[in-house]
Amino acid sequence: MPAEPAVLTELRELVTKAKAGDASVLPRLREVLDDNPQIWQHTGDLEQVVVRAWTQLLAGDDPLTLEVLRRKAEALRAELEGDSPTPLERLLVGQVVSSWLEMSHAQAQVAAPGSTTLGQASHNLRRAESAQKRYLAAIKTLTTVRALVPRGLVPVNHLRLHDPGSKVAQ
Amino acid sequence: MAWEKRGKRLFYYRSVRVGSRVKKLYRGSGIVGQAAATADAARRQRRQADALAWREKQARLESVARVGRAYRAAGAVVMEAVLLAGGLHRVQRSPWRPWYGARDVLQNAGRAGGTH
Repeated sequence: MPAEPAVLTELRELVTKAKAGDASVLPRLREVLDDNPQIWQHTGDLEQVVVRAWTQLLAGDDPLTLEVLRRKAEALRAELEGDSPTPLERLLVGQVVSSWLEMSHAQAQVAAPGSTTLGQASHNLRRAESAQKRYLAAIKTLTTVRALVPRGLVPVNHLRLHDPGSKVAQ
Repeated sequence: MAWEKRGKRLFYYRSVRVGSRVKKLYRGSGIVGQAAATADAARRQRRQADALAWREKQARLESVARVGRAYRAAGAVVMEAVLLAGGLHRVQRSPWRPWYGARDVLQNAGRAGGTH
């Protein structure tokens, strides 16, 4: 697991204070976010580790399945991120993708044939339900944040001179 | 599961749980008892191997889940930080809403809206 940058501890403390109603920490909170790209680097590294681990667990020893899953995860990421995602959007989309993989693994375990005891089957089912809840929560968070936070300096409907996917009106 | 000696002969019994009680089932003596004992030993071995494989799999899953939890926790802190720094807040688990008290603080600090 990648080592946590020290600045994340400060960020956590500032968030706790701000959540308790102390608005005086907000300028520092912004500074920390703006001046420390390693925060985003750290979450990105964690995401890579998690996504790789879940795809490997799902695929087992089959390299073809591994490749298919990797591409599917990338496609999901690209679809959710859109053209110009903010760092926060990228982070939240990463959480959707990783929880989707976790949910897929848990559901595959529930459906897998084999000799499982009643306790093991019940454990697998509970795990699948939890994973599905996390997946839905990740989607909800992404949607909520998109509705709340303006997209930084990127215009929402930026000018598009050519869209290869669209049909030309005759 | 055990062999019991009565006189000069050995008899094989198998213990099974029925509800809250353990019952002893007679399986045979001589060759029949030996066959039952071998079958039971094989089944016990298979069950132990299955349990070991299950524990190993769960340990592997737990190590991935641990990283997943760290990722979600870090993501939650960063997301909350961005929203708070963007002039939003939430009370308990209510929806995020504009934090009017924070706007003056952020404007006085002289930094425009974040790009996160």
